[in-house]
Amino acid sequence: MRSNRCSALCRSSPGSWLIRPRKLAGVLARLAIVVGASIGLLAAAHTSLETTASLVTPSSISGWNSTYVQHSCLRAVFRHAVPKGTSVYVGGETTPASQLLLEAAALWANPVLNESSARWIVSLQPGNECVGYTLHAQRRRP
Amino acid sequence: MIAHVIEALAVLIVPAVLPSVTALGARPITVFLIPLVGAVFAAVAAELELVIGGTILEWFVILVVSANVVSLIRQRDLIVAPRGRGRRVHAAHENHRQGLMWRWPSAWPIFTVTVIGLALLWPLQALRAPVIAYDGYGIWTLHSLFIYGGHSSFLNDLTNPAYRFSNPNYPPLVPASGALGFAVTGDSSFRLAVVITSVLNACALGAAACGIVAISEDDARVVPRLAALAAGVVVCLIGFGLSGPYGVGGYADLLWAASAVAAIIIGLLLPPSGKRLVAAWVCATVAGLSKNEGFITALVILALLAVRYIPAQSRHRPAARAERAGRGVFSSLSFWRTWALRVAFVVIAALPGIFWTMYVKYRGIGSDFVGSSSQSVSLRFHATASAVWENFHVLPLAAAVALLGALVLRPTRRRLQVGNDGWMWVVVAASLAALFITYVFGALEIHWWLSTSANRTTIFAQLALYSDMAVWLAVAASAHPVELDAGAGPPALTRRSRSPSLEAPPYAGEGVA
Repeated sequence: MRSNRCSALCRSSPGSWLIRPRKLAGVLARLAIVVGASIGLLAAAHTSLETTASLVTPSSISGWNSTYVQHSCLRAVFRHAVPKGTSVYVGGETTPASQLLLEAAALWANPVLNESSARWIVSLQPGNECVGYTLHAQRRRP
Repeated sequence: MIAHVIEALAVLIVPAVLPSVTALGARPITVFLIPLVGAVFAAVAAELELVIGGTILEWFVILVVSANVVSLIRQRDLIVAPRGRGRRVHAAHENHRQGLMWRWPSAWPIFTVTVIGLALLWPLQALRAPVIAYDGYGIWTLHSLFIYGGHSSFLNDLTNPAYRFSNPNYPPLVPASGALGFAVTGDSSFRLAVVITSVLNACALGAAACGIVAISEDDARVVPRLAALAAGVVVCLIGFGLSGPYGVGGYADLLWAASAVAAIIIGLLLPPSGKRLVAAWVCATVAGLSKNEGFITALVILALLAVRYIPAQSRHRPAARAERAGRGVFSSLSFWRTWALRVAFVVIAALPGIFWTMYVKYRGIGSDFVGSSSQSVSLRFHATASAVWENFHVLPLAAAVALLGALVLRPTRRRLQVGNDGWMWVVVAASLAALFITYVFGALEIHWWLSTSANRTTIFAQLALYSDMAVWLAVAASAHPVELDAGAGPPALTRRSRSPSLEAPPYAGEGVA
């Protein structure tokens, strides 16, 4: 009942002192939203700028280039070592090395999980052919 | 390389211009949605290649030619005058022509697109280096090669158990866009596909930013408009920041997350209109065709769009009231008709994603992570909760801002005709629930799995909460002191209502973003 009266008073005289605490609370709440959201958003944006900057430092670029050259090189070497369309075995389980070979085999050879059904066995050894790896391809005897 | 990138992007973008402008109008958001529309065409072309045969390029040409012919027929109204002579016929034609016109109403949209575009260019500078991370090679560019190889290669490789590690059931939008680039340029380098994906990521974030900017587009004052634009720009930067190398490394996570956020803002928060519905549908389709978790989230968004755009019949209408009184709520015809329409809307809108999901299921194409684990459900749940929380520190601040906004800024939100942001929270909750179920009941060792993916799979939830704060910031900047007092009526401050001398937006009621 009392609040209804206050509400009526507030509407009838917008400049009266009765309206001030509520209005002040509203203004403060709005300020809190603006400040809270701004701080949260700007802090995240700042982190974002730092993240982007960290991706393009000379050492990062060198690392990305190295990985890219490794993948491109393995793809080219694989195509040189294994005839097109043949079945290849790169290992029974998915390891980082076998995954590299499976990616290199895409659009060129048909990878199989069973060694006995493959015509070629391909593996990666430590070496310098493709940034830390050397590809070994061996034709299986029938 | 640069020439190949330009060529590939041109093929993705140019054929999508006319259909996009026809469906969405010449608006800032259209600029960012055009490449995404092109990517949807590429994804559907890849689906047709897989199911029917042929190559992605052939199907893409068929699809874009068809879409452009339909758009040209619709745009014909720009040139051809109507046959009727009545004043009403001409007025209707003029209204239609205004809606189709290829010009922007003022310099503000150009300024908006320029600022958002510049903000998106900053993170894209990382493309100077071939930033391709693990799944960039192991899933996304690999699938691009599968699609590029044509029908037989695509089908054989997806069903080959040796490639199961690459999650062959992942939706085709990202690899299809790369494969289209390969097909057009004849260059199947990983980097080309990754650059295309990064541009799509940027466009999805640009669409979300345009949605935030549109909150204040009818406000005549400069400060609220600039505040909304700043909030949109910051969301663009945050999107790339949350993703780190994944945003520019060929991953699909940022694309589905940003598209889903854009769909929520445009379809569930901005005032409803036909063109906004189309824009939201495009964004939801992109999300659904980008990744499995994106598909689930897109279904939730489309369901909420259906509820919003197909409202239940008014319970105060005499016929409906009589029907309810006679038969009860659930047995009334209107109740079932409404829900049937909503279900039909979701199924039709999600058709490309549903088609893909059903086809890979039919072919027995699975994922690396589907199966059973020897770890206990309790252990997996606690590990998941811990990993998700590590990436979710924005939650308390976002919840506080949303709560305070709901309490204080409701009159402003209503005057701006912005929908309830509870929609956003519902989608985030549903998406997180799907994520928990996947992790808890998945096959992979949970700690390794979470350490390699939790920071990516939570991008959507984080971005959505940051976007919610940006929406409240835009609403708060538009608030008038009178509105901060509960019980005060909304002031007339919009361009449409404040002064008749100010030009009303030409597409009022038909806005996109």
